[in-house]
Amino acid sequence: MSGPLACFTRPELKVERVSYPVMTPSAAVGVLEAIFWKPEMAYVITAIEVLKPIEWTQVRRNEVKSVVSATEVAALRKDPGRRYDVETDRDQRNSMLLRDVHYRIRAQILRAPHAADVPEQKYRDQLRRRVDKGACFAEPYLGCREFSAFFGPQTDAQPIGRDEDLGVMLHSIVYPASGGEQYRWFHAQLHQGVMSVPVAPLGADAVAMPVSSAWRADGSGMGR
Amino acid sequence: MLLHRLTEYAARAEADDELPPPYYRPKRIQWILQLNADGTAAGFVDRRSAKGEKPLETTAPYAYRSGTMPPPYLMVDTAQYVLALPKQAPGKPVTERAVAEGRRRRDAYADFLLAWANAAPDDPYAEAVRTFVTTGVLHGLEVPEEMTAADNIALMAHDNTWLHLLPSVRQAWAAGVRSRKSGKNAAGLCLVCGKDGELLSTIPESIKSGAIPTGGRGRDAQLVSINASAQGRGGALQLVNTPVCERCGGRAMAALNLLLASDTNRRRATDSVTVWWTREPVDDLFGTLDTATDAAVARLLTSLHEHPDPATAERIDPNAYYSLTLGLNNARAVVLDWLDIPVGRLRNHLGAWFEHHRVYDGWNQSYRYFPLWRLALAAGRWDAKANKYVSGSAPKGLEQELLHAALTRGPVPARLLPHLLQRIRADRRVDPPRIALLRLALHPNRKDHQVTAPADRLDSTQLDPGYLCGRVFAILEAIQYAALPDVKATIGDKFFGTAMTAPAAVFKNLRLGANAHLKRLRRDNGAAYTALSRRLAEAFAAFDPHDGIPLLLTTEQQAKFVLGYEQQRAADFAAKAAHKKNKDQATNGAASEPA
Repeated sequence: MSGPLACFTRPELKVERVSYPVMTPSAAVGVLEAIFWKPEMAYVITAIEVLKPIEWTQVRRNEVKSVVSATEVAALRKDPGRRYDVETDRDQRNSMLLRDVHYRIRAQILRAPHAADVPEQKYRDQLRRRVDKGACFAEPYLGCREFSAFFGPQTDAQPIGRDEDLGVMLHSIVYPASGGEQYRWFHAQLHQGVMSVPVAPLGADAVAMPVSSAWRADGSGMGR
Repeated sequence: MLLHRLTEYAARAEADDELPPPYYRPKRIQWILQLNADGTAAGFVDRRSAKGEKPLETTAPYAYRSGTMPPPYLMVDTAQYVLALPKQAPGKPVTERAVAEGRRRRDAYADFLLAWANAAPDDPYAEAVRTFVTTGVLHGLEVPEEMTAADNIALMAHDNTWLHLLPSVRQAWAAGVRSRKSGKNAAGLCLVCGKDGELLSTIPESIKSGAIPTGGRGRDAQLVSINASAQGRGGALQLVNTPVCERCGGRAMAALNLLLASDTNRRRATDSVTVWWTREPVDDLFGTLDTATDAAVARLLTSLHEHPDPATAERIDPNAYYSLTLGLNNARAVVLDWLDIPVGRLRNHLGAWFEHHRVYDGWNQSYRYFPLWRLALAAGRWDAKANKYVSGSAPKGLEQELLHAALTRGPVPARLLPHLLQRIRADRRVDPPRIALLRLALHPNRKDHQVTAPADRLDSTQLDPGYLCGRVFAILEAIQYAALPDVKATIGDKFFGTAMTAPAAVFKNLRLGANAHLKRLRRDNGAAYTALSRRLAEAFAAFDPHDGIPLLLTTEQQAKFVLGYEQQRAADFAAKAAHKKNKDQATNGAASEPA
């Protein structure tokens, strides 16, 4: 994965955005799902390797202040003369972005319960073929839609030699049946340019892994 | 991570007893309301400071308040809350509404006092305060004539104890703020400390107004705030999907305010402020940038030469160094820059900064290092009449960009070079700080320790046509000056601008003109003639025999022209100084010899 710009926004500094220094696992899942996804499978990120030095840049943009709501849609429907003027609904926001990023994503494919008898390697090979071809369902991006990502097969680029404590990072988001969403976190650390992602996030309600799939730890140097 | 580092700093400051109590902040007190022993009477003490006098300041309860019914503070508040003094716009009569609002605020203030007095029956001062509120002493107070609604009034007991500094008051105030600011379903994992805790719905403390410089109106600012639907996830307002616990939120902001208020740990620019701190105490590295003393720079350069590679340097001193640059966007603080690097690496970066910009002073035979503000100032306009740089004329934000380049060992902004060349031409001024900036801008790659910088003194092996043109021009000027010491307008005054952009157009005429000067020199000063004509011949001989003198110089070559010009001059001065020294020694030696 690489790209000229990226913004993996920190939740505590998301109005005047500041990015995490490293791609978050949930963003990595988004990238992989843009390339290949089926209801029968899910990705679990095991590690993210940083292949280029962490460089920052900043940009200040005029953005829209509000989001469209159900009541607004209803009002628009009711009154055809109603207009929304974006120029009167502006908010200037600064973003601290990552510049010139390059990552290697290590992930594991998990099968859904209803696909337990399908060989896991089928999906893995499908993903590899799509990556080699450069095929994707949607343009993959680095944290925000506007920062498109390039992707390709594994290269022999080495991770940067950097250790850093990255603090609490978003692990994943779950959507409970009761509605809404839940955020799960993990303590992220960079060891010689590699951020390992634990299977279980922090907190009491740790993630429940699908029981049908035998969890297999990613061996070192096994490729994606 | 930023908030986490701030909470770490808060822990250190607390250990050093520098951190104010939770939700307290330094405030100016204009009036003291002193109660008697049993609370049946109270009188005002005027503590407004006269001009030039230091105002009375104490840490007092504070939390961000807004909305239609802003709540009172405990013990110390404005006259509007303590005495129901209505707010009045200048030159306008007091409105009914302002009077009613004043009454509401005083009642709320009185209720808060009473709530504390009832909750802390063991406190020796609680009884007096209860009497003061319940028997109508508070409501019957006369407002002094000169008091305004915005004046702060602090309560003091009969024995001169500040009531707001009592431990029970601190607790009651903190509890009051917590209940106001915490979220509705308020427990969970805090993403700052990574532990479960009581979560906030908004951050209770804000950055003090004026702490972040701004061109607009200064006001209290929030670092973490989500108050428009497009700012939160799924249109949610406040900290619903940003879990921050009460302890971390309050302490991070207290630490930030402490840093912003300190003189040693902050650096203010025109529209931003940079604060820095380290994990463990360290000598003042950051200050070196602004007060570049020889000893401090020498230390940095020694460590740079011992470990030229930043990656090695970082292993020598792994203590972490943090710097945070904040700007202001209305009532929101903007993170403009955040740096988290090992101290060893920073030492290397700062050492490189000084080595990459230093300028050789030929006359004094020493290197000159410049403070950051001076470099930024030199990018502005030179006022020849006032004999100084016009303040505020440097490109906007340049100082901040230079600071960033110094701390990260990054490149200086690309816009600097063309701007600086334009200023050098227009102002007709080349001075050491500008040469320092040129050296920084001409560095091919500051990050790579194996790439060499442009030389800091005359480099006779440098064959860049721009550099050679600069040298030749300096020699031609020296010849003219030696031949005609009283000359009014030198060739530098007349042709510098053209020579640095299109040298071929003027060099032929200047070389021919120099013949006359050389002739005169040969007659009047043979030694100077020999030295200068040899120097000129050497410089001309270094040009590429096929290309000759270039017609036009590129931006980079123009910069090298200026560098070559200045370094040739510095070398000439050095030669002159050495000559003078030898001569002085010879005369002294001759004088001291016995007759």
